[in-house]
Amino acid sequence: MEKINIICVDDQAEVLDSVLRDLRPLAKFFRIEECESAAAVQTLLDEIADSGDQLGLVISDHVMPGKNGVDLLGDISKDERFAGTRKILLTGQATHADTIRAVNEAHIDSYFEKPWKPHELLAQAKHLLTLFILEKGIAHEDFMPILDQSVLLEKLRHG
Amino acid sequence: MPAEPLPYQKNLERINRVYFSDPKRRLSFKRGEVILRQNEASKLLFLVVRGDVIAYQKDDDEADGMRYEIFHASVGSYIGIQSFFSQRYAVSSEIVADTDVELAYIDTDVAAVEPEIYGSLVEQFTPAMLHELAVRNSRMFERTVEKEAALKRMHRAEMSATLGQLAAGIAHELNNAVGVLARKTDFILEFLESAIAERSDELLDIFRRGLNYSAVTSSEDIRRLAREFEAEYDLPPDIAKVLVRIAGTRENAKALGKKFIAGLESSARYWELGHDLHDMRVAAKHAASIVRSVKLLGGGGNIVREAGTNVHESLCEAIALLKTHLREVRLEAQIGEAQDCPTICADMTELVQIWVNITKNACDALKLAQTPDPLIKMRLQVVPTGTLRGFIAVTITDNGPGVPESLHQKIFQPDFTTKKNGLQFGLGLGLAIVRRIVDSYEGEISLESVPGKTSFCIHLPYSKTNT
Repeated sequence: MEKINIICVDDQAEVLDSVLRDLRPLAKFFRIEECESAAAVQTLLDEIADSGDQLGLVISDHVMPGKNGVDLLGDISKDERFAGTRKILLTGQATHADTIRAVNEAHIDSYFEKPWKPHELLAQAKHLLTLFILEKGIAHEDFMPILDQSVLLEKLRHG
Repeated sequence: MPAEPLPYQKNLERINRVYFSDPKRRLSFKRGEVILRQNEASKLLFLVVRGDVIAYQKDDDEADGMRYEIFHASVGSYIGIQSFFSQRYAVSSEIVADTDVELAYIDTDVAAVEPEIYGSLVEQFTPAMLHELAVRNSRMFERTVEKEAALKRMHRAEMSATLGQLAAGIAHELNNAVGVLARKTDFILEFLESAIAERSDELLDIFRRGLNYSAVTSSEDIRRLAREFEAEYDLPPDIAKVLVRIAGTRENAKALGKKFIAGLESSARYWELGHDLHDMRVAAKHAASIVRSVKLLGGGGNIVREAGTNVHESLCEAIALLKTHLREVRLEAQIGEAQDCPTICADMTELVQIWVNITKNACDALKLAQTPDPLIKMRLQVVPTGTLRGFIAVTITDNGPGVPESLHQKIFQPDFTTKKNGLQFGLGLGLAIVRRIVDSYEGEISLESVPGKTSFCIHLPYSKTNT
């Protein structure tokens, strides 16, 4: 079974902890990593790339000391090693301009406002990971229990 | 050699000399006397020779309606210009003696003197009259501008008062809600502790470790150690992370023993549960402190200066209030400990307001300039020597672009703001309020600014007010 990583980024430990807990149903299938800053993500990205693992999804806060979430996600979307990696911006404080930049430059797949609804975040994570797995041609049978059925059906129909 | 008088002045002197020096055409009034009533018929043109007069206009329809000051005339001014030269022969305003007054006058029967040289009467008087009207006009304009500014200031003060009330209202509501959350968290905690204790002391121990865990370890260090533990003890990643948090080091993990670690697969949930309650308490405390600070700021109006007010505490309060703003900024607070800080006779609200306004400005300036590695330093000390010996000095420094020299005085004026656009809204009152408060404490505020280092220093006398 291929090792697929999920990275969660937030500078507030309690918030980060909550995100991780909401994603716990995915813990058996993915390696879920936590980072408290964009800088910490950078080292982790290199580790993941060096070990030949996949990075399926990044969920990041926006307002953080140092590099902010939009810039971080922007950097990842430009990084060839992580083409196809899905991105969620999870924030309470992005301005209108930040949000536009997030869509246009960081190419985020989804935007969640804090406080978020846990089941919605989990469902969105599953949806994006399913797309990632299918796109990368990873053996999806291993991930069956947590895959988004509607995405799978669509794939079966249209091949 | 004295400069040749201007033609205009020469003309003025001549008019006054030729037409207004007849001692028979003089009138005297006592202070407060009405010289002319509004709409009274008059064929006279007056020159004020001594004293001051005021012209008023009244609302016609009301007997005791509002009286508006139209102009103020002193020695050298003319009265009745419009009535005399428009040939309406009725004064448009009420003229009252503001001091004891002496007036010289001419009437419509006066003949032009030396018309062959100076032209008709109207021609002779035109420059002087136009000048008089222009002066009145420009005074009126100045007054309108002043009034407009006063209105604006009032409006802004009202706006900030309304904002304060709004903040206080919200703070009150939130306070109740946060209070409920904090209390109920404690109830749940009490129940859980007794319920877990019934199961086993070991689980209670793990639960309490989670409850009391507050170590700050970087996510990177946790990850590294967790990877080791995963391999060494054959643990799933999330359980390994809990072990890292419980043990902290390899040695501690070893000391906990294989049995303890093997049991973590089921007992780790208790650690997390404990830690959830820890987070809930921290969050409630944090929310309560923000609410308290907002309340403090919104409180306005009931300022009570009390001896024993701790400047250190006021700085902590300000930092708590600005937590969101300061998240993108590195804060170096050299403010010592509360117990070491001398207390002064002050109102906590006012002190907090000073620090908040200055610090918030610094945050906004850093953000606007996109200063790399934004930094704000707060320093609290007691001045040991010099003329300000015994003063408490608080310095707030940022590494932003600075305040241009030309604006150093201006920034303390009400209505001055550099925040004109974007999400930041500036009432322009921030530093004006700071100055007002500092002045009222007989303190001093100074600003030193070069690009990369801008310091506001506030001195408050503590030995003086602490009696």
